[in-house]
Amino acid sequence: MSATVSVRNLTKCIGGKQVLKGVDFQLQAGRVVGLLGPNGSGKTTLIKTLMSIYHPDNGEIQICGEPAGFGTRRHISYMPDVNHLFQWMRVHDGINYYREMFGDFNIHRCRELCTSLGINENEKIKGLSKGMKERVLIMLTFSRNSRLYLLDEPISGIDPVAKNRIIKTIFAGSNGECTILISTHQVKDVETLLDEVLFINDGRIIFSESADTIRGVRGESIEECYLEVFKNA
Amino acid sequence: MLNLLKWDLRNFIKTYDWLYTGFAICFVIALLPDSVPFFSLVTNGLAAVYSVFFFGYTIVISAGYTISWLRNDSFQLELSLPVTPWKMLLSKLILATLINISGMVLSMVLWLMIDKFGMSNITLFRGFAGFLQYLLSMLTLLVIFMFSYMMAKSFRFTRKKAGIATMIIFFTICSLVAACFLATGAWNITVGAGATFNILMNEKLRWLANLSAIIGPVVVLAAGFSGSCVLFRQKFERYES
Repeated sequence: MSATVSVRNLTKCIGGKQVLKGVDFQLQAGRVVGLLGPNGSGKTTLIKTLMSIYHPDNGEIQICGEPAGFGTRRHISYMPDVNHLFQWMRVHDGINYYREMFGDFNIHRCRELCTSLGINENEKIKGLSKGMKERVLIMLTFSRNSRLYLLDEPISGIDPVAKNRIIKTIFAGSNGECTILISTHQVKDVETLLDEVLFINDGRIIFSESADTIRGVRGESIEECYLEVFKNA
Repeated sequence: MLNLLKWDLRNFIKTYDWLYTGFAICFVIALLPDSVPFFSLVTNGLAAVYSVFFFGYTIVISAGYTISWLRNDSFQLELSLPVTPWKMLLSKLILATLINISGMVLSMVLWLMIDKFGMSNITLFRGFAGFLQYLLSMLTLLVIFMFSYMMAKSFRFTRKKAGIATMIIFFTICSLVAACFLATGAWNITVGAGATFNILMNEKLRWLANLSAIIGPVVVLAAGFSGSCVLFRQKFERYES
């Protein structure tokens, strides 16, 4: 079976700094994968390169069997680390925008997510709290029936209640066919979600393993494993 | 494509609703009868000042519209759309043209309505031919500006100083295009009263002047637009600060 994402020897330099230094990994369908690493390790650059917002200097990226580019964006539902919606939008404007611009948008799923996440569609997005903005973005992201979900820091700086709701939504979104890549440095919060982990440090994948192996064979939680790997990095 | 254009238009209207609200207020003022002399003079004066501001501001917005969307946080939303680069850039170009033309037409309507301070005598185009000439020149400049920004944001050594690089590339290309048209006698440039550069050609070469006057801008438009699409697809990158 071909991988949903295949990255080989990816390098990327930004502003004279080598941010990605030969990244290699593969993501299979139906897996929830954590891209875990400290701030400045290259997580956001890697996600933006997968999204073709940045272009690789060297190396190869395949998304759903196609070389990454404008065309492969149709397979990806992307949640960036900032509120990327237009400033004037209310929640229902965001929903309408997604519905009209993305052919795979599922309005029924969207309504369910609005209810479960406690989102009022008439609220102005600009005036929402950080936690509520994150809920709106996650609702829009998971209202699409995509093959790949890229979530860049979906739970950073928000309260535990909002965090819990977002994690439940991500968990519900993993349906066995799609692949979810979550970038975060808050390892403990996403621990229960993950099937696999990729630890990234200084532009390199320094560790990759399935969550079951970490828990079963190594007898550690993912957070313990993360601390151990980064202590020796 | 139409959906994209619709949302671009909606985004523009929502962002600049204050500009058009101001226009509507001035329009109502211009409709009122001049029954109270001093009051009417003041309100019409304010409306006249606003109309000039409106005219200038719509030109400034339209000039930058082909690139300003890439400078907002919402660029990540637009870059996640499954839309080809040429559709994306064409939508921005169409909207920039609409903003420019509608700004001019609305300003002219307001100037005619106010009919004071010599405003109704302001002429922007002379006939339909003048309008077409303006449209072609404006489109050429918009495309060169878009291409210049794409180029500035496509190479490592110009990305950091993209603003300056864009202006340098823009003026360089404009100078080259103007020089090319001048050399073939397609365009004359009037510097001031009695200072017109004319290149006299013999009859055998006049066909070249006529041909380049028509084909030249179309070639610049096509080359600039396709070049922008290629750069946007393959090289363009914008980093957040």
